[in-house]
Amino acid sequence: MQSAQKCKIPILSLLTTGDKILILFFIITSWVGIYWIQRYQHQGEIAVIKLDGKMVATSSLKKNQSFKIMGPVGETRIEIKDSKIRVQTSDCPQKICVKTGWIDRPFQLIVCVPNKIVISIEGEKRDYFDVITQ
Amino acid sequence: MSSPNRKNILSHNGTLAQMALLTGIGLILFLFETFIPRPLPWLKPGLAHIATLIALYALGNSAALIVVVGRIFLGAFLTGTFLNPAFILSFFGGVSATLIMILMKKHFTNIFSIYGISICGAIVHNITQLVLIKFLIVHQPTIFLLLPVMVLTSIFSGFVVAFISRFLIQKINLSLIQ
Repeated sequence: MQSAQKCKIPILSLLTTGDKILILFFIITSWVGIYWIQRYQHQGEIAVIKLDGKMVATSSLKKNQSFKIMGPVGETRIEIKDSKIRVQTSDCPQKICVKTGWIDRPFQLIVCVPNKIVISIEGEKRDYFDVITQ
Repeated sequence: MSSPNRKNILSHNGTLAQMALLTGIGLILFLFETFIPRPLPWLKPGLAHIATLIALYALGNSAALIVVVGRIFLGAFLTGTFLNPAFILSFFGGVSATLIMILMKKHFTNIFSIYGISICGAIVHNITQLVLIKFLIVHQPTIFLLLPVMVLTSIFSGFVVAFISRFLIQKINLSLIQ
């Protein structure tokens, strides 16, 4: 550890050069992997809309439509177009759900906390896991 | 942080007691971990490997393996998962991670510190489990889509585990070895 005095952050001075290269290598490869997966993953098929944890609507992403859902705060208008889904307008104060924009892939989410609405997308294969281990 | 010069670890009474102590620490951490809320159910910090790392650095290679295997068996008995898929995943993941850490400490100790060794152990643990899940349970290659997320979290958890282990090895070095 000859560079112990030079390094300002104490934890980094404990790492050898090999450690740093190893960490950087794995971070870069996994980011590339995540990017690649996001890009080539199949699109979702079904939008699932939950209000306060309960499923209130499922809709195929194939047909273009727009509908509204009443939550605790007010009305949330949801639009489906070109296999994508978004929140068009909402009565919630911060409008985070509107700013999230369009989503079209499994595992993506639109969440409106004040109105207790969660929109998720599911593909054809819904079951990725058979067993969850502890 | 230097390992003592002992050819046969079981010949020394103190070492056996220290291994038992470390197995117990690993077991407690393993059980404690199941109570921590997790963002995703299949991501665990792997705190039990703190005991493995301490055993590897303070007591040597075979002690680390014995501590890991003992901890996994006892943990399976206590949580009631003996010989079911969770136990098999836990066993092979733990043993492969320990083997890779032993090999890296033996051959690349000039290149990697305890941090690199711990991170590699965590990554190998996850890869082994994913391969086993693929061939034993799911039979779908889609499971490997999880690999990048698992590697990223392995880096973080491996780092944390190495940090705690290093701190503990420095602090308890005297009382544990002499």
